[in-house]
Amino acid sequence: MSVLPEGSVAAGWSGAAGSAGSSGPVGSAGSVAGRGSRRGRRLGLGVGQWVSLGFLLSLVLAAVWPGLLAPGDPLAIDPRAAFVPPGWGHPFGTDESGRDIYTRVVHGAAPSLVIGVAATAIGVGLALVLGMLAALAGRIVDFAVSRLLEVLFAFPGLLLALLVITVYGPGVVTSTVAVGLATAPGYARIIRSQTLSVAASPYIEAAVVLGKSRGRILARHILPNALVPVFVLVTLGVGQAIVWAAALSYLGLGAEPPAPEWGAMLFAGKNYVTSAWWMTFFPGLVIVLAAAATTVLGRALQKRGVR
Amino acid sequence: MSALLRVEELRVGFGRRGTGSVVDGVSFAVHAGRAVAIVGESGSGKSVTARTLVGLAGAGSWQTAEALEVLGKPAPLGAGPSSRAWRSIRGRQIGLVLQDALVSLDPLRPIGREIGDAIRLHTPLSAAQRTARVLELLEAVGMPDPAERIGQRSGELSGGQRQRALIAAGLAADPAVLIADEPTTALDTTVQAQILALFETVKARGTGLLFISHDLAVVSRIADEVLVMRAGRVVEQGPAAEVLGDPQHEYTKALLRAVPAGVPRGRRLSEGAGAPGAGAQDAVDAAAAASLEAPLDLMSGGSVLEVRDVRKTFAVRGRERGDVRVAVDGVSLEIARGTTLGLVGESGSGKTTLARMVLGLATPDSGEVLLDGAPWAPGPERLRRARRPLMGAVYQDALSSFDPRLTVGQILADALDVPGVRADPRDRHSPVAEPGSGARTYPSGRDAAGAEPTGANRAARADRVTGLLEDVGLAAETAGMRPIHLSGGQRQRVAIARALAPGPELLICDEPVSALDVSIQAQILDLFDELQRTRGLSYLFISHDLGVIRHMSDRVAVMKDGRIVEHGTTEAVFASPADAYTRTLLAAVLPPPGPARTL
Repeated sequence: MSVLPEGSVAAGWSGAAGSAGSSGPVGSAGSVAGRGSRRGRRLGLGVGQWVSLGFLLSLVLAAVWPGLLAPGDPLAIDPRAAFVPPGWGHPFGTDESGRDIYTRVVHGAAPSLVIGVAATAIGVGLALVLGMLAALAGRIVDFAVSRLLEVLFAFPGLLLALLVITVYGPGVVTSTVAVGLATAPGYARIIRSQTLSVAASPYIEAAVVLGKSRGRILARHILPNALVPVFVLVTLGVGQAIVWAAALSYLGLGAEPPAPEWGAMLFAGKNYVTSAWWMTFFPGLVIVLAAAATTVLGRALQKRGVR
Repeated sequence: MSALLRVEELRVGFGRRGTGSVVDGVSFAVHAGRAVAIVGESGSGKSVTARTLVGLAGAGSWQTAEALEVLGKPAPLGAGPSSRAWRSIRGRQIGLVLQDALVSLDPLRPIGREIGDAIRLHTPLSAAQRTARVLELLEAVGMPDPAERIGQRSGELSGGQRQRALIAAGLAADPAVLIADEPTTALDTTVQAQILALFETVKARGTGLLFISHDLAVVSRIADEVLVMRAGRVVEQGPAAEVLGDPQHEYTKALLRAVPAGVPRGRRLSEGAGAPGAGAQDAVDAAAAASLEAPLDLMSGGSVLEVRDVRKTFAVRGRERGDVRVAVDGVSLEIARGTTLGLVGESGSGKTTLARMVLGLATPDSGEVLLDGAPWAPGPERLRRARRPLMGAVYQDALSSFDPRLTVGQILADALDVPGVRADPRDRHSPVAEPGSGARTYPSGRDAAGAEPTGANRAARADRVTGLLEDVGLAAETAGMRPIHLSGGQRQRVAIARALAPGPELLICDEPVSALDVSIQAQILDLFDELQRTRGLSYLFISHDLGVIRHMSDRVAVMKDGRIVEHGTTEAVFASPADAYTRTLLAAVLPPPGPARTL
């Protein structure tokens, strides 16, 4: 069997031939004008995008070297300073045991980011295998994988994650894997359709005519081109994974208090919402900002990706 | 007689007023029962001119004119495209027929409704009267079974029928002037002839025609007056017979010369510009003469490709089970080494399916393909792979055949990096190559391919890429560019360079010049010709354009409904076609314009 189902190749060929007659000359004229503007936009980030980038970089810094931004110990208790509102000594206030919320938020960046990135990596990795298999391994495999994905799609993502945790027990690792599994079907579908359309494109056919082996075509042409839109989605997905991981911790299924994790901090503060609003406000704020910043940057990448 | 449409010194541009003009001082008048044609290549400003006359110049444009009169009254130049003033002119006084009927008709609405809209907007007719009028119009434009077609959507119609529907819509409100923008470009030769005949009857009824086209043969058939446009300016203007019969401007002459129809095989179509080794024109001509005199010499090598009775069917969806459409029905062909077989046929005749089977991309239901006398297809790709470098392909849409992530240099390096790449075709394949520049000696391909990319290796690879670019007349700097930033002609040159990279004996060229302007087409055809001489290549050259086929081919095969209906030497097929279909096809070909050519 060849790399591609024959019918799909035929569609790609004739489709290209049909469109060329009308768009060929016009397209070439337009692209000349397009080049200048592409150059100009290379680093043309807007204000919001710069702010987002700055925030994410400071989060990464907080994750890698939390002591630089908050020298204190996130677990140090000080009963005399319990429930201190935000002020000079404690910019974000303190919790019921007198722990400094600011220090805890900074130190919480590492677990949150690691969970977000790791969960997304698990999701994309799994999706890559499933999506590529479905697209390239023939009709039966495609049918099986596609139906499996549809079943997974029937569950809301968080519910799927809860299911995994119910089976394997709570904890940081389980919740990371759970979030990864829950996001995989979405990525897998996109990778499948992207791979199908790339595999049917005339340049893949041109590579076959040049005598390239299946493996080389897959590695050099199909995989990179199918992954271009996924790259953008991953940026968007990290923010979502951070929110989900926090949600699981909030439910007591991920990191447990008193660990400085944003979701766990929300959970710890929920009993004091009326008296000590800062205990939930500041962890909540960074979760929202982290998700918003990745989304803003992801969108910017997405727009730029449109040739 | 006063003009229906009069334009004086029209200027249109995009950007700040007075800057970026794309139409620069165009003047003409359209009279009743006469046709004015604007000829030019893409980017010449001809379509913008046409659109400005109906207030559709486009967003961000500015327009000025010393006079723009429709039926003696000044047109609201500069008013917005949806202003009342323009809407009363469009459709009613000036009808517009666009090029691409598939895109220009709403795919979800029956054509009767589409045509009826134009009537509803401009006349007080009742619904029943409108239907009657639509039927009348469809009849007038020669639509078969108008009563049935009226309820069909554009997707259910053939290309020619769609174009007729569009013309009917343009004529619906009985406008005084009809503007047609490339109305026959996407059509097959025989359909084009019918549509042109239709335009002639429209003209005879007293409608003024403004005809936009890049095709000089079409223009010479229909136009009374011709404007030749280039880069927004009119370079030559006058009665059609004078402009096309005795062109004064160099550009018009070059355009006419570039038309391949009737130009003997081997003679150059383009001026030297852009062609490799342009200075050696005499030597090339001499070589051409030599190759024409001694074609049999080349054939001594036997046949490079043999197609034996191949057949291919496709399952038809939506019908009963087992229903099949026969795409290719028992076709046999043979290409002698160093020669060109021209395969001609209209859309849907099975040309591309045949090409795909020859390329080993589609598996024939029965029959076989032999390459160099050894079995090639059907069979597993694994067995073909080692001999893939012997056969290259050039497609119509070059851009989509390139990996969008790669630069030109990477594309070519990629093509060189295939096992079995040959440094140069064997000597016996290039009998006229010795004095030419094309018999370039590359560092051996076998050493380069497969070895780790060391520094020296990389330099050698870069040299070979530069060499390939040079062979197809592109500058070495092109290697760093992406195909999307190249012009259509440059892209096709890159595609040819890629096909040449593995050192093939045979190129399968599927409509390689159909999307190109006539002057660019001429350069590309010349390039094919030159490469054949210097490298001893054989071509399977597929086209719907009989002029191109005649210019390029040693032998011609005419395909219809999956069968070869006629097959023979180019002279024999064109001089005395034996098959009825070939005769129809040839009769539909418009005579090449310009000073009489000796055929």
